[in-house]
Amino acid sequence: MNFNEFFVQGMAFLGAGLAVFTGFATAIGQGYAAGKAVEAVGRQPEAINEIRSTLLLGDALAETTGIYGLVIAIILIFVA
Amino acid sequence: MNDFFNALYHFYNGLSSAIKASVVVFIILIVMTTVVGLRVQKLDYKKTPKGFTFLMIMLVDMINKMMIPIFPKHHKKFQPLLLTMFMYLLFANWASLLGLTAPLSNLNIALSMSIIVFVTIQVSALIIKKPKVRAQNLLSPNPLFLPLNLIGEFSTPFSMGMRLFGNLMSGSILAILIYHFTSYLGILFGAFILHPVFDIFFGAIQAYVFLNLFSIFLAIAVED
Repeated sequence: MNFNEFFVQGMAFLGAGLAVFTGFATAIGQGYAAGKAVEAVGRQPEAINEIRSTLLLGDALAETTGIYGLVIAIILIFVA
Repeated sequence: MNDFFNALYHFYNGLSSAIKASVVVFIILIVMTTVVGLRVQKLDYKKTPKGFTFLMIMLVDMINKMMIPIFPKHHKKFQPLLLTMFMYLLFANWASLLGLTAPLSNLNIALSMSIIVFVTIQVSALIIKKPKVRAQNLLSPNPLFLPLNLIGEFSTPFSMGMRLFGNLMSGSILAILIYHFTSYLGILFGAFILHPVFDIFFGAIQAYVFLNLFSIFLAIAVED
């Protein structure tokens, strides 16, 4: 088995696919936050504006790890 | 004079597309804020302002009201900087609606944002709190925690820059994919789904998140 450049590029693509898998945990966390926000609206419907802005801020923060995986995948595909 | 404009033109043409878009955003912001500032100077305090001036006054007032609970003492010092960063990010993220490349999809501009955040936090913490108190904060629970605290000082601005880069980059890659694979239908799809969601909505949310995080980290470093 010889390690030529095509093998290296194929491995980089495989690594990119694995790196995007970080979105799995991000999606679970965001869904949990959204579920809790729905519960909070059900309990206290008059606070919906504050709950909405807090939810958006928290979701954008929870997205960070997924975005890191995406950046690594982009670097693996286009740069390496 | 002609040589000067020629040199300027060649310099502008040599830049990469994202930095060209960033220069365009700078020029738009300079013209807009100058016009609004001249109008606000002439304003009669008995009358309600109208139109675009009214919108900008509302924006400044909103940012002021957000900043006062976060910075009880120093909000007058930091509000102009935070408002400027917010407006630059908002207009930069909306620049792809004009057919420009989104400036934050270039890693250089995203990381220069994090350099600005890092320098602002460190310098204002050193000036407002004296260096002795700052060193005590770095050694805070125990001197053993110094490496962890130093890593924390570097990693928060870095993650803010990378967050902006990843969001804007993923939006532009999705736009390229969809416009590449759908010829004419893609225009409809892009006009009604792609640009409203990925440029306007996500761009505004990322600018808002950046403003929030920047003000919170600055307040932690500066306030008591």
